[in-house]
Amino acid sequence: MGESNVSLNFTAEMTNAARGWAEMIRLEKEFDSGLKGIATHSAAASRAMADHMGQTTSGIKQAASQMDQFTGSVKNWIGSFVGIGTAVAAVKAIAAEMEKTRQLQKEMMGVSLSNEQLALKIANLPGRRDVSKEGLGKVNSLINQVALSGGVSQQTASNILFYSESAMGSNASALSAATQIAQFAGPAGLTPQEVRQIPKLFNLTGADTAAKQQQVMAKIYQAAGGSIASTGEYLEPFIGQATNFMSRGFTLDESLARMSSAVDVTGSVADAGSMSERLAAITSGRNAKALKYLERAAKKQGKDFRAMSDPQRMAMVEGLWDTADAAGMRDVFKEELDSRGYEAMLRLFSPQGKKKYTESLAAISAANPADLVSMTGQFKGTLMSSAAKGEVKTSVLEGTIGDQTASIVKFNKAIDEVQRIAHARSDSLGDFASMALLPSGMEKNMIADILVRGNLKAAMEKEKAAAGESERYGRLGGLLGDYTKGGPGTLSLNPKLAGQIYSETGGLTEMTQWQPTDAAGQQNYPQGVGPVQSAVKSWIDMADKMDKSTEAIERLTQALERQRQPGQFVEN
Amino acid sequence: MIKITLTKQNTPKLMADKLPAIIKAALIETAKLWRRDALPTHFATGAAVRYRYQKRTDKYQNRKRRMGNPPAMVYSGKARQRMLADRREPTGTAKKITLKVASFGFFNYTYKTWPQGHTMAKEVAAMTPEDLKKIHADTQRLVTEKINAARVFETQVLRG
Repeated sequence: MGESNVSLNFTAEMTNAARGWAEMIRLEKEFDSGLKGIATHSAAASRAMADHMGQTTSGIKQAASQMDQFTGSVKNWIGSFVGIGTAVAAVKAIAAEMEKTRQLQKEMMGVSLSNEQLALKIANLPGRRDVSKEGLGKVNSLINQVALSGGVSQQTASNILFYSESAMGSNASALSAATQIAQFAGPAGLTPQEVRQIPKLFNLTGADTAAKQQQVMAKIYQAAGGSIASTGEYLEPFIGQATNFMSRGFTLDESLARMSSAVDVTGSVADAGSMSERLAAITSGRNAKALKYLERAAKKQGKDFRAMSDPQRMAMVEGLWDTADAAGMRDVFKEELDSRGYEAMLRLFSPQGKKKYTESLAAISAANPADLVSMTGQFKGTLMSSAAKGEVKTSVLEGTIGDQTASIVKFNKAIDEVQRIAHARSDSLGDFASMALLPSGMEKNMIADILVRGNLKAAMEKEKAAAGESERYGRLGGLLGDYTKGGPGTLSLNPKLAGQIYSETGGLTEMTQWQPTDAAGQQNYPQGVGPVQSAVKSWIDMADKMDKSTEAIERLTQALERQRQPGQFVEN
Repeated sequence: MIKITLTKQNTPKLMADKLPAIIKAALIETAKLWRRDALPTHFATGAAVRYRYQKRTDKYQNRKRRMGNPPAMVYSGKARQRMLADRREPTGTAKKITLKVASFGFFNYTYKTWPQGHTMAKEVAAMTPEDLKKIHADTQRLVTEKINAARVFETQVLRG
């Protein structure tokens, strides 16, 4: 028997891999040049601000103008940088911060404006644009209306109206919101600076939802243990989504309980918002296919799906889910509805999600029925007492208004964030290459990390300085609704989250590391190379939301696809 | 003056030179995995159907039946033993890795079976679509792991 060998060849088709790689290198180059652009422009803007700020009105104007140019440059640059989704989101967030800084400059200028000047500003707002004598007369009558409704001064009334119209447009809704705010702020005798915080706290998006938001806010404020900064900043998505739920016909308690349950299963307020929203959307027949399927299912039960309310629809889908789950056929929802809706159902209709929902609903319904008057009173009282202590609440910048150097500090911090993101992004090439594999929730968290952490951390630092250790922990516990001890008793959030907060001294780092788990407690987001198609799709969804060029998205998708296929194997 | 220190690690540009070596290493490991996991299945019961071996002659099959019906490709078992015991390192480049498995001369002989004859060397190297899929996935995973494990830094200072 002569000896011999059997040979097998394993070959990699390098052309495709190399092409994909070249595309990645090109994108990296764009990223580099963008960073250089940021460094140059921010330095110029910072220098200008340092030179001019706080000296003369014209100096401030020049600084603001520099900021304008800078913001514009960042935006232009973003336009050419659409390929790298995450970096775009990060820089976009920074650009938004810059925009806020610029707004603050304008606000600073506005502090010393007289009532007439404010009226002129209002008359100049988009949608009004009438600075004739008649136009100013109309504006003054509106200011009077607001002033009389809340018993506030003309100056405060004009400030409120200006902010409402800036946020909501020059229309009846803005006037109605301004009136509500004046009624709220009037008896408390708030300063113009404090009044400015109110529209933000109430998350003004439309007059019809303002009242609902006030209810939600009051309830959450109680759960937050009295931290206005936390209520306004951190729980903003919570409020927005709960309000949205209410607009679908769910009760306040149901909305809060559903959000609370979502927070428990996702570990993040922002994700909870999007997940519960997705659940509500999918159970009400989000797309034509889903609607058809649900209508068919309802017909089998002898119901008319179209005639049902959203809560009824959710109850019906939950029942369908339970039946399918028991039969081991829940995959049918993935095919018939949509994959993201399926993910939401998988989490929120899980035993853990349901248990949490039931518990939260009971806790929320039992404690503190909607006594809006006393809640609002308490809210105002705390606002006043905080004001008396001289605390800064929910300000865009750290430090007090008028502290000009704070802007420069913020600027530098923004640049640090760019650096951090760049570092994190290029931390490993695997991540870079599989960037599209990140679930959108993580993207959101990264952005939330930038936008929210700074403000919340600053607020917590102040609380830390003001209060002793035990009290601080009490406040932190209250912030998340201490699950284990009962806390303020109105809202139960994620105990794991609360534990993380306890272990971190005022840090949110842990909280922003989203680690979704399924019912069995296993992490279930794609690790490394995962299901590319769905991941790329979710990434494209995210990019679409950013209103960016689909052509560039296509380019990167192809590059990623090529990169994912380094080899083709043959045998002989 | 603003100074930004940008530390980059394992970016595509930095990794460009290392990529061929990584792919080569990944292919070598994949080949070893094939030898460990897939090769023994070519001698297992049911392999003839799975890998579509050519039907042997009646004379040969009768002979095997008398021996107690050993699995496909196994007669005395010496070739199987020799092939499964081979632990040589695969060789080649990032484009092509060759895995050699020691066998006997009759593996390269084309037997005149009906309808088109068969060569056992080709049958040993046969792969099902599942095998190919696994090889692809293995390589993909190994490349990603190796890229993630690499540590190439570049520090850049930007001044504005």
